[in-house]
Amino acid sequence: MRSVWTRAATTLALLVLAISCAAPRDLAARRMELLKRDVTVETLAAALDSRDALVARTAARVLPSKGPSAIAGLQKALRNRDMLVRRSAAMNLHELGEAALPLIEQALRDDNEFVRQGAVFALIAMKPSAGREALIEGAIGDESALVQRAAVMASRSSYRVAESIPLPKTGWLFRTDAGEVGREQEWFAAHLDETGWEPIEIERFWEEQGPESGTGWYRLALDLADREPPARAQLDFQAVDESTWVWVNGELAGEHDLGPDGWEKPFRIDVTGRLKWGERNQITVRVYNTAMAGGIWKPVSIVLLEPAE
Amino acid sequence: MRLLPTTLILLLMVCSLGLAQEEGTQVRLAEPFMTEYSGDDATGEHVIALWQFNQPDPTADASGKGHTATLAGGEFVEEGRFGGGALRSAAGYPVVDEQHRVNVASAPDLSPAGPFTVEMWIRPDDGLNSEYPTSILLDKKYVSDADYQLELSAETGPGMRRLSMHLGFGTESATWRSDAFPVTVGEWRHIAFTYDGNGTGAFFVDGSAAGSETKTGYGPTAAGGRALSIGDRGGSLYHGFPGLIDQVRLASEVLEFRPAGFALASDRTVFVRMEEVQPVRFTVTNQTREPLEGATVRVSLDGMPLVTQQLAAIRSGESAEVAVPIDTSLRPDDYTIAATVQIGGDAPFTSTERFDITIVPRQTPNRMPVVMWGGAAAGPSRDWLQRIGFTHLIGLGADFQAIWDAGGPTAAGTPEAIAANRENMDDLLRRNMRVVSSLSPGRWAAGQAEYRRINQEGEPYEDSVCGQFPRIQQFMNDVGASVAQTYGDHPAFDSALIHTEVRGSSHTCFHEEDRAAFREFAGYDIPEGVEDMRGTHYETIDTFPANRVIPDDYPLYVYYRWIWDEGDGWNEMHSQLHDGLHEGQGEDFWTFHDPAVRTAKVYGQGGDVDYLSQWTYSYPDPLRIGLATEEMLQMVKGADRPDQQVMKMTQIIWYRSQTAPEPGEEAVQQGAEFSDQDVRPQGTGTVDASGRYVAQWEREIPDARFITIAPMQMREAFWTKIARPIKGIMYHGIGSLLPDIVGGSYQYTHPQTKYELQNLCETVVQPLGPTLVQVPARQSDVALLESFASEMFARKGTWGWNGGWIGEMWLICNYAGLQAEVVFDETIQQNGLDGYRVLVMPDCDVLTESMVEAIQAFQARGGIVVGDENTCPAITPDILVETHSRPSEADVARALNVEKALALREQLDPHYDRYADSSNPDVVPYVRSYGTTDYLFAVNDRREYGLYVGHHKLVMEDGLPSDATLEIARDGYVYDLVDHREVNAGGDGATSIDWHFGPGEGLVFMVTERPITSVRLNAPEQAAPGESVTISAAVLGDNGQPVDAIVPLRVQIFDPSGEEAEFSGYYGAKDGAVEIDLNLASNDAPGMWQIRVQELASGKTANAYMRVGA
Repeated sequence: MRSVWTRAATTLALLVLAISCAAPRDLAARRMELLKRDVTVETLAAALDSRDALVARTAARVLPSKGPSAIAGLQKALRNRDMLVRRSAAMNLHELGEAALPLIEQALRDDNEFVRQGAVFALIAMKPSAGREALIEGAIGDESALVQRAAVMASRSSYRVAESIPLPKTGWLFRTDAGEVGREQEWFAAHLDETGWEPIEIERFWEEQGPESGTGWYRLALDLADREPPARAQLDFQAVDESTWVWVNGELAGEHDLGPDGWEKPFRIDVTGRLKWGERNQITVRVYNTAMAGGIWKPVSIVLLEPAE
Repeated sequence: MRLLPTTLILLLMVCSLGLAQEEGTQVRLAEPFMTEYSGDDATGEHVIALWQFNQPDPTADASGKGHTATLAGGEFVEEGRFGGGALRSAAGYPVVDEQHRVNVASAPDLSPAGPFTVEMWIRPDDGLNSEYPTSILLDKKYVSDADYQLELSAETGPGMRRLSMHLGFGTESATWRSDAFPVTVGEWRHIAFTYDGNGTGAFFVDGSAAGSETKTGYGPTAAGGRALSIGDRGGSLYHGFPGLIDQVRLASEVLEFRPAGFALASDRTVFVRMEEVQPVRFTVTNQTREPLEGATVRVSLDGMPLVTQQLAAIRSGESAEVAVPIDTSLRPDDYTIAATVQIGGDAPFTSTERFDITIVPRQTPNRMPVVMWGGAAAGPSRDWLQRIGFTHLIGLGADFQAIWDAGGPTAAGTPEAIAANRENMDDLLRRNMRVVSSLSPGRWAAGQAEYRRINQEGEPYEDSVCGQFPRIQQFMNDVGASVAQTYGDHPAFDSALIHTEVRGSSHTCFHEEDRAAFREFAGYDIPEGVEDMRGTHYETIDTFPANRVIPDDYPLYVYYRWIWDEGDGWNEMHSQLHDGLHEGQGEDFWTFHDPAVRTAKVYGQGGDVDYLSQWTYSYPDPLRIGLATEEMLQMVKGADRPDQQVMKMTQIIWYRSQTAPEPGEEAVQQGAEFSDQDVRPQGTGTVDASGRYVAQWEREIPDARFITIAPMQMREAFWTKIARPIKGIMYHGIGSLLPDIVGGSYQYTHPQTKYELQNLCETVVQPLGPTLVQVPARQSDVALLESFASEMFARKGTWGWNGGWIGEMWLICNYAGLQAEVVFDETIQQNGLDGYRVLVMPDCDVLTESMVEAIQAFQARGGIVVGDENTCPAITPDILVETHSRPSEADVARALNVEKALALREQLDPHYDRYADSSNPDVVPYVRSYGTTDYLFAVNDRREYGLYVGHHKLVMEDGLPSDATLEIARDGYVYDLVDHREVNAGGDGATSIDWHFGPGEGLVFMVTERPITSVRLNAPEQAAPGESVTISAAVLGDNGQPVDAIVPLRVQIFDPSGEEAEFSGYYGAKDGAVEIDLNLASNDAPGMWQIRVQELASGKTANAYMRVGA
């Protein structure tokens, strides 16, 4: 038995060496080997050590298809120094079924947001389960807007819209931030001296009230009727021109920053647990605009979600 | 001008028919100048003054207006033209420098404030000999800049003299001159000059036209205060007329003197050689006050009398028509048709009118159109466009209201508008240019309220017509047919622009017709959730699949594809207009639609038009023009008609807002530190008092909204687009290209740009165009997916603007040496990804199930997916290029893309071999192939900030030189098609070319399997005028056979005088060979002709000689 393992280890070592040192054409051929149906877990795992990025990523992508026997290799893949090896593995972990959850959890702790996003993608592809929902719940609170968005989408398969509460067009206050001091001076605070803030309507561009290039802040005091807190609550923005940061009751809830391309794109920010029902809430939106008109130019609403059947 | 050989017989047919003048039109009858004026001709209101010098009071003004003459050195005699008396003048300086005249005191009405006519009879005596200089017949001007002075010249030839009328306009004078005419001692001549008060002056001698000219910029003459002198100059040196003067009349109208009016009734005077044309028609109008009987018409061509025919009697004021067939087999040249009407009887009279016609050569095949997307009237601007190399201008329109009202094809405009258009087309044809009709009846039809699109609430959109109504579709066809039947016979009209810039105002529409059409298409009603033409974002669809993979029959996807393909009716409207235009047109007629990819990426955009086109602004990165071009190339691959092709337009204008601060904005010069010394040598700008650099155009036109493209950006954009298999190129923004275009917001801010374009046309488009339009694309193994699903459900896409993340990714591919072919959802759905090795997926957030399956299968067989963080979760990219928004500083933005390109390249290189490659990311290669021959293009994108707009850091407008080694994975012989020489290239199994590129420079190498060794040229040794002969040329390889390539050739056919004959020009010799059927003209010059052929790959030539005639 020992001799078998020794031979296997030797073979693997040679394989790793071969892959690592291969000439370009050999690398391409080696990668093609990894795509063969009968490729072994060992070969794939060994390929993770390739210094060639595409060979290692291909191995990471294919590994989950090998089932539970690939778990060790996948753990290794999730530790790979190449972010895309980790992401390639994470994105395909759903192929392991429930057994993937610990690996996904590991991936959700990755330093790189793309890897965490890939892990959420794997959750999206999985069947609903308590473990899955818990991981999605955690991902919704991720510091990365990219991961948040993916997690919000992931939650869709578990929830459905129960109610939508439109936010008023009027009653908002506005202030430009030419000196970019709003964050430092905490213009998002729940309680703020709003002297000097001007009324503004949403669902229209800020026109002359805001800068063609620069930052403007919106604040809204919103009374919410008392009710049983929903399973999930999301602020649904139909579009804000351009980049957006949202605070609820003084806490940063999320951001939507796609640069100029984001000016017409809808987005949702999860505010579950941040809203106070039966009380006055403070919603603050910071908008950064780079060209032409800006502001909250389309409707905003609070979407209340309930678990899907 | 050539005289016809005497053997030439020009077929000519004269037919006459009585034509009553159209009701309401008034024929100006000729003055009865052959008789002594009386009655209204003498005293009418229009007569300012009339001196008949009759006894007993020869000083009297017979008009009764009181302008009595005073004798001043002249002499009244009893003999006169009509027997009652005349004024005798005499020779002045240098014979006798004394006055010989009568004077008439100055009066306001002797200075007409508008049109006027001056006429008189003159009979010279012996004093008017060949030594005598000019005679002044009438003078109220003298040396001032007011009024008029009529002069008879010294002899211009034996017995020939000219009239000159000098008119004063206040601050300057101008002169109109007549044709030369015989002036014979002892013979009376009637001379007259008319001025229309608006620059047009005309002379008449004995009732025949004797020359006319229109000078632009002149109005009525200025009134002076000098006395009117008849028979001599108003002061010394005196220039009397040696002879008699009689019946001097001044009138305040433009009068007619021709008893018979000859007018061109045809609306064409320019013809293409060998064109089958209708006879040229003239009208002969009886302008006398009596019936015209026994008149004879003689017609000649270039002085050669051809036919004489007697006309039937014509009543006063009526016309007869004469038709003259034109022999277009004559050699290309300008010809003059002279038509003479001769009247016998008691008052014999002959009048001749001359009309110029032109026969232009036929075009050589495969000329690449260079379209000025705009118009320019005949004049300096059009001259410039012709010089630059433009082949087409936008011109003809149509009267949509009239066609709508007619309910079917009808005249496309008023008679006046049609006549003006046809005159314009003649001018273009003479220049070997063509006109593009720009027609947007769909936009016009939005004015018909009952056919406007409506939203889901039934509210109409004011700017958009609904194409689901048969009436609307029929109207499109009617417009096309109307324009075709109105102008289709004119060869200058060979193309039409269909519905430019209309799709942006399209909307989803909810008439019952729309709902029924979708129901019939899909089998179910329009689904819930439809928003506008830009789709419905998935984040607003609660039931949208979280993995962003939708079934291919997802109802909203089906709907949006339908609305973009056929549902909004635009593509069918394009097709209908195209069909109508093609009715009755020749095969060479073509249509195009633009901007064709400012749409969702669904096959079928543009309908059945012949060409798709798209306009692109070159800033900030000229390479981006390649993206829109590739989008169109993919669009035509999926077109309903298999032969649809692509053209490409570059904007000459640059938006100020994208290149420099807007007027009034703080001018940002980040990091720019200039001194006066830096900028003065380049002469482009100055440094203001605050040390800020100001470009010349900013100083001179501070509020300019649109400026001129920088020449080096134009050059790079040119090479980027022409590298691709496009069939024509276009430019828009004449106001920014040429000086002195009045009006509009396009400013002329870079004089060098026009020279740049001219150079590109002369060195690339003209010599290589006939080759390049024939060289097809090479199937690329790199695909760049522009996902329609992502456009509709994630608000992604370029929408024809080459921007956003897809635009950045396109640049990254370029810098990584990837020749990426754009593909659409339908490409993958219909054909999978066979043949591709790399799939680039920028902003592909949403995919359909079949696409996911195809992409996964592609990956499973080794295909490499390059994605980004937005890539649909169902796809695991092998390489991820993180998205970014383009930084505003152009150098930073470019550097970021180059950096990402190098990273992409490093990951790809071990797994992907390019067919063509460049050692330098600044130099971007592109390959096309024909047979065993490749056409390797490369363009140098290395740039820096210049002093035109670069100081604002938004655009790097100046190119820099680059060195690169180009490599193509094959053996072969390399030819530089621009410089026409063979290039040393190394390599074994691959071909490497080291090259030093100039700023913004592009090139094209032809790489052949065999070396070019010679040119074979065959032509007959002997040919007769009028005979058709065949000239054949072949570019041979070392096996003695024509090379397997399309080779650019220059063919020159010289006649014995050294002039280039028809079919001289540039050719693209397909399969290495070309045949030219040369139709020698009956009036071609006899003698030894030379035919010279040069292949423009290595420069080899061949000559042949052919004797024409005996």
